[in-house]
Amino acid sequence: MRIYPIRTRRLTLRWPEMEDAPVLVKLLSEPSVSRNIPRIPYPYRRADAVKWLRQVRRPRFNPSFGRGYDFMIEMDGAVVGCCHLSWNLKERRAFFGYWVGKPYRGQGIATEVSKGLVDFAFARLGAQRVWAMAFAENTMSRHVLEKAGLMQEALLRRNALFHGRWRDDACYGVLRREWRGFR
Amino acid sequence: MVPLLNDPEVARFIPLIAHPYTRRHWAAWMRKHRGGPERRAEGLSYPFAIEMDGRVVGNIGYRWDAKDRAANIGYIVGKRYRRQGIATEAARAITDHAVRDLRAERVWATVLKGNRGSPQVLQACGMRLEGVLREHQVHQGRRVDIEYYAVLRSEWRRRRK
Repeated sequence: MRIYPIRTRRLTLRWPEMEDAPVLVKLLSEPSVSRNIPRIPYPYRRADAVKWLRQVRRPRFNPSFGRGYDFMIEMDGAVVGCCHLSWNLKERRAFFGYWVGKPYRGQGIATEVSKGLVDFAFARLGAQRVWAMAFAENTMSRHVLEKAGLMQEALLRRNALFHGRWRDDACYGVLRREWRGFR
Repeated sequence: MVPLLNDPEVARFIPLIAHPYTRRHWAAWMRKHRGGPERRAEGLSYPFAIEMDGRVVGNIGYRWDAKDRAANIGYIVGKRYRRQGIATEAARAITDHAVRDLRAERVWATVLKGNRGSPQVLQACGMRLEGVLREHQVHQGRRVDIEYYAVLRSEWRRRRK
């Protein structure tokens, strides 16, 4: 199965290249992005970007999430953020996540990415379920997931300690029979 | 342990347990744990046998996520030993150990929908249903809902007072 690239109306989700390190540093040096995403360090340095790029450019497998794929989100030739898709073949279940750089907010990019990944998972991978998580306090992201057709299924209280604060995790999901197709 | 685990009712609600469960499965599990707790991406797991009056009646274990200070518990009680509060007593002991000794912020468990016994045990540990991940897993050829239960450190300590 060929995964890269995934195209949506305005966006290309493509393979991360080593040359993406500077743009990652630029976009992730803005704290309002990384404060909502577990595992993104802050301050974000070039070494963090290089380490991440090395990791994601190798095939990865996690026993519960399955095979993991990371993408650079490109619009009009500029990197505007990143997204992720995991595919657990045994459970026929996909998981996704995303972040969008501050200069590119308010243009529906996260929603377009989410719909694109949901479509891809159901149409191309044959997923039976697609799910995602957001910190409960991240209302913007929760709204995006709802627009992409997911519904809230669980609220895991104090599930993550991040930047010194306990966060609740909201879990969202959509089933194949509920999926309408966004294209 | 093999006769306790070789039980269709255990297999129905615990996806991790093979069915039929044979000595060979047990031997493989023992080999894997010879070096101590199993190290996984999600954390270290600590298995225990449950003994009552010198007899093994089940097992219980927890996985410790040090970064988020969370303990994920799971247990099995043999068919002949059910309905005596054994799982409840063991789960309370593990919850107490996690909160007191490990300073866990959260103790949690997952239950396959349809398992009627386990929610009672978890509620006796002060756990609350936090949600249901719909059709999250394939088990015995069907998609099954996974219920998430948890108790917070503050809630457990309040109960112990």
